[in-house]
Amino acid sequence: MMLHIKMLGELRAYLPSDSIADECKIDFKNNCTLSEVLSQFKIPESVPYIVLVNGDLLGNKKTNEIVLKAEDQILLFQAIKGG
Amino acid sequence: MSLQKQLLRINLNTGECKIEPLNMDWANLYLGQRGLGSKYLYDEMNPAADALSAENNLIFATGPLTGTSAATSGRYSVITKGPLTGAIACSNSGGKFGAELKLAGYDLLIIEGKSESPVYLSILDDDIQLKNASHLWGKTVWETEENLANEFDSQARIASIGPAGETLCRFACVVNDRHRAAGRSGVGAVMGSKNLKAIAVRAKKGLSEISDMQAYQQKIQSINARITSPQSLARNGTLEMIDVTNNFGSLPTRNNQDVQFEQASSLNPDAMHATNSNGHTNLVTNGACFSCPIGCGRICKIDPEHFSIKNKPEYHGASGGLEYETAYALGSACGVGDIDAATYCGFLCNEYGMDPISLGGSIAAAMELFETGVISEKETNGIKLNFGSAEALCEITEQTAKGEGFGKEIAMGSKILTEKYGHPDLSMSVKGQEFAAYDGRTMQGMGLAYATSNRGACHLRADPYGHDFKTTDIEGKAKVVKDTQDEVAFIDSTGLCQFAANAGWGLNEYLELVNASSDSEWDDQRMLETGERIWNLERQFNLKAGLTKMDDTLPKRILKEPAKSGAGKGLVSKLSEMLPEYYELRGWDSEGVPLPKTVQRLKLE
Repeated sequence: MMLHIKMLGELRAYLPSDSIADECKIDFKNNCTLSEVLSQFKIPESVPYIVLVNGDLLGNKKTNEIVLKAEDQILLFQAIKGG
Repeated sequence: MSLQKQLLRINLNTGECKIEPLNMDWANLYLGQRGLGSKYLYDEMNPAADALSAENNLIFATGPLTGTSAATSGRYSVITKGPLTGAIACSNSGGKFGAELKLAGYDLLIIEGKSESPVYLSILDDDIQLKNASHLWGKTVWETEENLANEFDSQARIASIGPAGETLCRFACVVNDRHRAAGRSGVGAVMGSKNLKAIAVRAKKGLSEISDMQAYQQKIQSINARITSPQSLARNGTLEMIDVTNNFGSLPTRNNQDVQFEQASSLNPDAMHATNSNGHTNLVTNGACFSCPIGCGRICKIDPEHFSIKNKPEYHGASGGLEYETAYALGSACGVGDIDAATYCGFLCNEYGMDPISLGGSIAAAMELFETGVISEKETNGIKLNFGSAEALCEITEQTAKGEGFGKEIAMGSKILTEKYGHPDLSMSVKGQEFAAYDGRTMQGMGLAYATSNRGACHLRADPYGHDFKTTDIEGKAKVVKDTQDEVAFIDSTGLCQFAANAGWGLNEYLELVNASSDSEWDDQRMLETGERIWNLERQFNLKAGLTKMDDTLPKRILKEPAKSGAGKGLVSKLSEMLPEYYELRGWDSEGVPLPKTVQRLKLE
């Protein structure tokens, strides 16, 4: 199933090289979990980030409890501040 | 010790210029910059005085680290009573002016009274003079800087007001180094009310109080080396935030009617880097303040073919470009996704001396008044003030900058504007100061931070970002807001920049640097207690100025109208649940007044 992955700011460095700007579209196995998807991008544990799935925060759910469906949109960003 | 241990006091009533020793007891309790400047303001003026009267004082305050080799040490603050809010104002700027003032020998510059005619202040170390500025009155910030470079010193650093400050625009700012500004709360109008056009400083003295310079430098360099990831800020500037808040659903749009802007990608860092169909690229390079290795500043050009500057070659050069807050205020807040129009209006803000956040917020309120039929082209003198109109945005910005037409009403700020037309609920402000670029429904902690900010709505008076981006649940937010307000009050008193915390530093780095520059020991407890003391002192100023618990609130829209989309879809601010907990954590009574035991503990009497 196809998933839309978007990473903002410095996290862009972890997107595949054929991504366009800050987004990519990747084929994953059906019923995969968010945890399985995120592990593909090799983001070091020392790099904190926040995940939204279809615009929603995860709440109390863990990433290995979230089963994704086709065309889901996953957004990763870092909690920068100021402006 | 990197304090100069002296201040410069200027009395504009008498023309007296006096160098005084710094009150070191106060410096031990309030550190410097925001804290120490606020202490001097609180003790030396009547908080109930009119902000635009001669009774108000205007203080330029540096911190112990300002002008040192510590990274990001270019900060200074302008502290006064704000004409936009009637509350204490403390507006922070970078660039190189603050360092020059410190290196000329002064921790603080206190301006009292009012001059009978326009003057400017020149400082060459101990050679201090008030000079006639009649020939500068009416000139823009950029013209003033050029004039003073010619007639005083070509190497001078200058802080000045433009026509907006002279005409007492309620959100006029003090601009230094062409495009760095002490932007908020109308500190430039206070300077204008005093007939003080500019302060020009040339320093030859330097820092003289450091006993072991080699050890001091070694310590500072080791902390500077911990600035780790400036690449993203250098490439994107603070504009990087716009993709985050737009995706998250906390980007105020069309006067906070929406929380996501469909044209945000026209205002983001990629848009700034892109080459348009005319072969034009907005971003020229990045820029840095004094001793800053990050360089988040934007130096930009407007497309010469853009309607806003087509026959205005004076705007074809490069100057200070969009930051995140400017892109919001002159972009999404007005529903305008035109990077050149926003850049042009940003140029005008720097040139004429206006705060772009309050300008954009006030225009957005006027646009909603126009779209709902409360005002018409009759009031706006023919301007079709619709959301999304880049032409209207540019025209009304020009009028506001020059104090002409309907711009004179925008210049009063959104609170007075919307009250005049019977719709005060349409002012997206707290204590009369317009919102920054975060919606308080999706970001519940930021809503509380706006409501309780001593200088009115502000994104830099607390640091609830990390908590807010993780959860919209309000549990724990009152404590996060209270604790980070104290932390930020401390950082703002050091002379260092808060943005270093986006580039690898934590609170510990700020603390270590203060220790390196101080004769006494600073630990975590003293740091946080100092921040808390500063916060409570500001609160006491506001209470004496006549503000009450009723001013710790948010506009009806944020309290009653649910966010339409994003991570906070369906939410309104839960301020009424957070505020009592916040007061309790602060050691205040249910009316928001510090309890006697709090006052005593913080040595505020």
